[in-house]
Order: sequence, then structure tokens, then C-alpha cells
Amino acid sequence: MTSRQTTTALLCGFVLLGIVLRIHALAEPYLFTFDEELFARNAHRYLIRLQDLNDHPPAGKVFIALGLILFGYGSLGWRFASLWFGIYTIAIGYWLGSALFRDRRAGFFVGAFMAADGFFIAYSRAGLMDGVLTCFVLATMLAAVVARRPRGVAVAAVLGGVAMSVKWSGAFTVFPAVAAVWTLGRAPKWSVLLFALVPLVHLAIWTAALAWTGQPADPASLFKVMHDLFWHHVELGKHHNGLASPWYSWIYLYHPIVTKLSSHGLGARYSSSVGNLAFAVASALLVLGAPLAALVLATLAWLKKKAPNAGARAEWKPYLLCAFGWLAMLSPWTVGRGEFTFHYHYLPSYGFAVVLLGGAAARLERVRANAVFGFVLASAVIALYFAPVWGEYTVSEAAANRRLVFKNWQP
Amino acid sequence: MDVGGKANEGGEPFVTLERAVLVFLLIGFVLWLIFGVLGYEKGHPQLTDSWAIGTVRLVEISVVPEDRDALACASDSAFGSLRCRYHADETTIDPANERDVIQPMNTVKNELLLGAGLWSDLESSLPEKGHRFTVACNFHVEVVTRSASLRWAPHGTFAPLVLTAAAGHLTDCVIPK
Repeated sequence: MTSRQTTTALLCGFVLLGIVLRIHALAEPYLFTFDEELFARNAHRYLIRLQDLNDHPPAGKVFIALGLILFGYGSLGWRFASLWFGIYTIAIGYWLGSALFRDRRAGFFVGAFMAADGFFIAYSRAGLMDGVLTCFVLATMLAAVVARRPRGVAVAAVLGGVAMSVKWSGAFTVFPAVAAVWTLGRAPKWSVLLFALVPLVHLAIWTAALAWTGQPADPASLFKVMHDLFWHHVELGKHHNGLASPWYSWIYLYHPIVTKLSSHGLGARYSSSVGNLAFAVASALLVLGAPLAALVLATLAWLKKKAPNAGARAEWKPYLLCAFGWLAMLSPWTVGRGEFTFHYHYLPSYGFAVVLLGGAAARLERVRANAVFGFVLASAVIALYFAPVWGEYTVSEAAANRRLVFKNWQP
Repeated sequence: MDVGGKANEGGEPFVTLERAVLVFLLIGFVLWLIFGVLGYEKGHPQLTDSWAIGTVRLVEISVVPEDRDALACASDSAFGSLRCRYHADETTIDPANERDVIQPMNTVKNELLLGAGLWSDLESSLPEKGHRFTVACNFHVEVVTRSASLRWAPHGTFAPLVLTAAAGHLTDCVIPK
């Protein structure tokens, strides 16, 4: 068995493990945990056509309401949408990696890495909206990358509008999507104008939600709702919260959050959003290093008065697009929110970093298959070690703390 | 998502909108099957969700002889042959057989169960009053219920169960030497 084949087997294991860890004891605990109550109660209000009292746009709660329709107003009901979109994100990652790097192997790496990462797992297991948001953000990028015609770009814009309607920060996915259409040149350049549909889709979704819940839905009323919400979010920046952490600290896993915790006999069940350390470190180095490396190479070429050849430029584009996507999704948290920023705000951004990592792994494997195998093996060991505190298996506090080693990682 | 149809003006599109939507729906359907059709929630008590109906668990319970009268539940529901000692309005039910009267108990691992038959099983070997002892029994998970209120002291108030708990007979009880 070659190291490439062994790597393939491990990646298949990642996907299987990721699905099991997402599904296992999903409904436990049976009460609200973390911010679930804010979203589940308002999802339920949509079903009984009452006003949404939450401080985010409607789409995420409408998706949660789908779970309530299927399974009733219980923990399984309000977590079902997160699980559904969380597993679908693995498929989106596969397609995005394949299309962006024009290599199915790259897509395989991306999907498997997303499957076996605690950050993605934790937000697939809780009735929160960040996993759903990440799915739409990456789907927008995927649609932009594969678009060959204006109609394809319009699909990307509609998905971007839905992302924006889950959380406003989703709107920032437009930047890498526009860059993808523009630089990859697969669709006509003028079609980037179609991204003007994003705010229109957003307004349409919100207007429909207001009308459905019996609220005034004319443009002036909608503007007032959005205006009030905007200033509410600005005000939040002045609040202090013990779980908050500054945006730059997310890169080095300063304060990942335990999104679910329940006692179970003498043990407890944890769902921690600490990511797979191998992916977190490698993707952070790549996402910061790729633009620097490209800059250095471009400068050297310029000094030699030689334009970089077209092949080299084409090869760098996907990496730079991922780095740009990472930066774009991070940018709303660098200004305007004061101290009221949380590790989960990093999830969409981290999605782009993992896509970059998958592409780089596939590229490196062509020349250093053993090195990539070693990396994947190390990631597998880490995933297995952290699996109990990602997927809510009953462990003692001591066992949990051996994994969540830093004070800020513990509940 | 290449809704333009022809795929290869700029190479392989890798995914079409139709396929993406199909996979999304397929994942949702499979998950619905797993959770819906298999009825995971109905067969597993929320307080001890690894205890499935029809299984037998070895449990260890710490009690005092006075708990025979102190621990009680109140409910108008009948669970097969199992009954609470009190109606929902807290009037006494006269059970035909004490072996079928369920009482709330916590295992030494702090797991709540509604067990029946502990005292009948221990009749000849009960310690003196006031002596706390640990007893190991086979617990037959027969029912999952939330339709009961629980009392933990002789004249305590009944508090409703918030989450579903497992109920069943305790058999083969022994006090470990």
C-alpha cells in the first residue's frame, strides 16, 4: 500500500468519523444550551406567526424552524438544521476544493479536513446559526467559482443574499465571490454586476418574514427594523462578556467555546469548538504565508524585469482567493464591535483557510506524498484524541481537561 | 451550480446546481430517516439516553430502609403493570402488588430511574432502620415516561419530572458483602 493510498484510507476515515461525531447524541442535553434559546424560541415564533424578537435577520431561524416542523419543539428539532447544513458543508467543501484547484483530490482533502475538525463539528451539533451561515458562505463561493454564465453568477448572488439573511456578516462573502468571477475569468466579467442582487434578496427575505409574522412590511418599516438592529449591534460592542475574545486571537485558538455541556452520571458530555490542532496551525500558517510568498515571488520577478508566467499566476490564484476569502470574512470583526466578538465569528473565515489547506495538501502530495501522509496521520491521532470532547461522549472532568488543556478552553 | 448548462467552456464544473440541490435533499432525507423512522427519542429516556427500552442494566443504588415509604411518585398513568403509589392529585393508590410500585431512585453514578420491586426482593435481608446500604440490581428498562411527579422525603412535595426517565422492574437485588 503506497502512502497515497494510506492517506486516502485515512481521509475516508475522517469523513466517517466526522459524520458519526456530528450525529452522536445530538439531542443531548434536552434543554437549551449556550445561545440556542435565542434562536429556537424565535424559530418557533415563525411557525406560530409571531414577531421575531431576535437580533439577527430571519433566514437562520427559518431553517431552524424546518427542524421543529420535522421533530417538534425539542432539542432534536432545534438542532436538526445545524446537523443537516453541517454535513452538507462537507460536500460543499469537496466541490469547492475540486473546482477551485481543478483537482478532485484537493476537494477530497478539503471535505475530509472539514469533517474531522471540532470547530465544524461543534456548530453542527448545536441549535446555533454559525454552521448554517458557513455553509451558505462557502456555497456562494462555490457557485461563483463554477459559474460559466451570468445565470451561474446570479445563483451565487442569491446564495450570498441568503448568507446575509442568516447573519449580516454573511454579506462579506460577496468580496471573494466577486474576486473569483473576475480573476478566474470563467464567466463574463460584467456579470459581477449581478452581485447587486445580494441586498435585494436580503430585503426580499426580510420583507417576506415581516409579512408572514404580521408585522408592517413596507420599505420604511423594514428600514426602521434594520436601522434599530444595526445600532443595537454597535451598542453591543460596549458590553463585556466572559466568553468574548478579540479577532486576532481566534487564529491561535485562544478561546474556543464549549457550546454544549451536560452532566451524565459521574461524568459529563462536552461539545467543544476547539478545532483540529493540525488543521488550525497549518491553515493559519498557509493563509498568512500564501499572500506573502506570492508577494515575494512577484517582487523578485519584477526586480528581474520578468513578468511571472501565466502558468505560475494561474496556480497561485486559488490560494490567493482562499486567503482573500479568509480575510474578507474576518474583516467585519476587526472594526466596530469593540470587545463583543467571539470565537464562533471565525468559523466562515476558517472555512476558507481549510479550503486553502486542502488545496495545498493535494499539491504537495504530488511531490512529497510521505510528508502529506505524516500530516494526515498526525491529524487523525489528534481527531481521535479530541473526539470525546467534540462529539459529547461521556468523560470525567479530568479526562476532558486533559484535552481542553488551557483554562480558556474549559467551560 | 453551473446553471449555464454546457460545462466546459472553462473546464469541468465539478458540480451542477441540480446535483448540489439533490445531495442537500438526500442528506436531509437520510437524517430524517435516522432520527424520525428509527424513533431514537421515543426509545431512549432523556435522563439516561444510553438505556434503551428492552435492555437490562446492572445498577447500584444507595438507600436507607426508610426510603421504602419516603421515595414515591404520583401519576394517573399506568405503565404496563407498573404504577406510582399516588394519583396525580396525591391521593393514595392501593397497589395489588408492591413489586409493581415504582419509586424514584438515584444510582451511585447519579442516574435517576423509576424502579419497582427493590424492597420485595430484599425483604429477608433488609438492614436495620437508619443504616444506609448499597444494593446492586438488574434494572429492566420497560417504559420511558415524563408523566409523573417525584417525592424524595416522607412528607415532601411532589415535583414534576422535567425530562423523560426510564421506569421498570428491579430484580436479582443483592447487597454486596
